[in-house]
Amino acid sequence: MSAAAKLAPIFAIARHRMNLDGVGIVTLVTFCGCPLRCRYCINPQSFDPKTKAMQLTPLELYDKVRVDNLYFLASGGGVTFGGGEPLLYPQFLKEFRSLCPDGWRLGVETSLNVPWEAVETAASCIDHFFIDGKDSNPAIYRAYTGQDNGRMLDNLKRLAALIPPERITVRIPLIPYYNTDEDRDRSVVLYESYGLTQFDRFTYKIKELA
Amino acid sequence: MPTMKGKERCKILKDIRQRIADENDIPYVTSECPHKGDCLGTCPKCEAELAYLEREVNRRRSLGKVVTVAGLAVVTAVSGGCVLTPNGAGHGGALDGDMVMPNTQAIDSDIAGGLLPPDGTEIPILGEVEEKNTTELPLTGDACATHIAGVPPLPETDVEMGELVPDTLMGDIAYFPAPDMAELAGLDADSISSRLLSCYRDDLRVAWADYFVKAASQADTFRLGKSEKYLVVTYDDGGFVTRVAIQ
Repeated sequence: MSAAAKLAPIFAIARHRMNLDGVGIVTLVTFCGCPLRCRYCINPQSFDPKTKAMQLTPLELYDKVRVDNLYFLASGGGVTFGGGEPLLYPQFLKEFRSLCPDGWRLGVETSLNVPWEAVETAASCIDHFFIDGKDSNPAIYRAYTGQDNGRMLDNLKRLAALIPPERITVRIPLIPYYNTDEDRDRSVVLYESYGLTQFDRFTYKIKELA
Repeated sequence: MPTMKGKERCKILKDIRQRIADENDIPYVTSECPHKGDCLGTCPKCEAELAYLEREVNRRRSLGKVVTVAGLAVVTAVSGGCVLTPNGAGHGGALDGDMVMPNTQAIDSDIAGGLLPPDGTEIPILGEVEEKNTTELPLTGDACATHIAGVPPLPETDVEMGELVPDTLMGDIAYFPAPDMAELAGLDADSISSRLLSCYRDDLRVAWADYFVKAASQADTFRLGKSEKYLVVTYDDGGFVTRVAIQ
């Protein structure tokens, strides 16, 4: 195993999640680190240097999550990786996949704003991608995340050409103060032109800003 | 969709365990949870039941039996929580509607406690399994070895045995009858030194044959090498064992 795959910083392992992170009963594993700085980040501890993270190898993680093997198999669930940005650790994911029983479904919740090589590696070992597209409008995306979305859109187009559309769900949030329903409609049109078919429209509910 | 309460989660998980047991003829007795108030949806008792089922499923698989687990349950999101539906009904977990409120407590902090009992704690015996059909089990050491893959050489001493058996054993201990029952039938049980004949866990399967002890409902204790953990095994008249889970 390469040094890059040897350890990954994980700040939480949440068991027995149901219908939140994929089909069936899912264990959510959240990595530290993210290329984005979203204004309403659900897990800001993922990039907080004070966050206490577990440095785990793929085998150590497998030993922790395998306790729920029967639930995974019975319900069609498995392990979903989030964070932070799980595609910062593609070799880790690949190694972890090699340890899992065939009946486990692996998912990632990702911004897809990572090098293409990471996405390509993940496509070989991840069953389902949940992609948080934020907004396809570059200005809105930059305002909300602090980063450009060019790489993300390019990755999404290439991923849609690489794997079947049923393995991809693109989340289309209504982000208060940043985008509108019309913006979301434009995003969906763009993603449909890539061949994508599964979308999850939802609204960020945020605490009142101070 | 509001966050599921621990008791709801517990009930769904318990139902799944029951289905797995029923589908695979695994003796399994559970009880209503008396806990009041919030919880994570699991506890040491639930964890022990799950571990027991995992061992029993693996044991059946190692014996060549057909095991049914995949797709036994479909967890479907409904207003106010999730429900367990028979396989084939309901639909997958596609998210729709409003998202759960994002907040920094959205991620549960770490694995629920009580995954495994602390060292030295006995797990309650759940559903002791008595194997009556000895034809399903090889009756000689050699047959044991061929039945289970990856067999290391027979340990010469208890120390060597201890080095093979992990400190925290994750599987059942089973005794298989040795080939020559008649030779040993008349021996005093106290004078017979029995050794571990077979144990297994998910990633380690070790099988070797040694002595056979034929006794009627006799219990005995054995020291497992350097770990000094004890297991209690009872024997039926057929020479086979009642397995006891120990961790």
